[in-house]
Amino acid sequence: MKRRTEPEGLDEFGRFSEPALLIMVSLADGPKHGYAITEDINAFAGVRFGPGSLYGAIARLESRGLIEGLESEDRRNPYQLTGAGEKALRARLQSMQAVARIGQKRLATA
Amino acid sequence: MTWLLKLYPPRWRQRYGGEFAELMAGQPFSITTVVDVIAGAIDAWIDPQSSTAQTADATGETKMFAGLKLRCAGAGEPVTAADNRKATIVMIFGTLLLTVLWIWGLRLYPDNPYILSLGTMSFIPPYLLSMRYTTLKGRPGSVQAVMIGWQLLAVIAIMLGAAWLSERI
Repeated sequence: MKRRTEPEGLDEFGRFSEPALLIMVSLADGPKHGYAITEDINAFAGVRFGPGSLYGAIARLESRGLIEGLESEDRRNPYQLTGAGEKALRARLQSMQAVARIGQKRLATA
Repeated sequence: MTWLLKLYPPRWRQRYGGEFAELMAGQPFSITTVVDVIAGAIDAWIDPQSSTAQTADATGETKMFAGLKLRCAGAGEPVTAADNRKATIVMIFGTLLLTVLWIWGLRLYPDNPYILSLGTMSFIPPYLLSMRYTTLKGRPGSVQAVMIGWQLLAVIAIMLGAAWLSERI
């Protein structure tokens, strides 16, 4: 079943949807490298992604210009949100907040 | 476990290989991690554009984010009660079917070590097949086929290899 609010062609992230969202939330307070992102997501969401899932999502986010890698002297490249990424994350979180508000309101009146 | 990195496309390795290897080096060995890395490698081959730089939508459009779903239960699709029922049915009936086939094989070829070795296999193929409703749910059909197929082949090879060895020891 397709959600009404889901425009066409937006399912392309497939199983990487959740890691991608959580990575962007993790990067919202500043650049981090892969290991730091994994630890941060584990701390705030209780989810630990494997390297395959993490870098599958990072590659997709980067290829779409939503995050970007920063120069680094060692092998651990930090990533940061781009302007487009920040805007997209903000919009997505607002949408989730609206859904949560409606859900809580309905539960309260049930 | 860093040898698993060789499963990824060269272009992908060039871009992410160093940091990926570093992250893997810090992980304890586990089947879950191996499966995750192999699935990631298959995905990288199937979706090569994920390692190709593209320019973001100038408007910062939330194009992909409408598709993003916050599912904090795990990396794959959420497994529903109906999925669990399907997986259970596949496991129970699959095991029964293979057990009957094995008994039939034993009657035809009594004391054949290869047939005997497959006796412990009755549960494994149905279990692997049931993964498409659980662990592998939501992954592309090709990925499911490869993931289930290679594990199945590996198990069969080990069992037949053990039978072959037992004949020679």
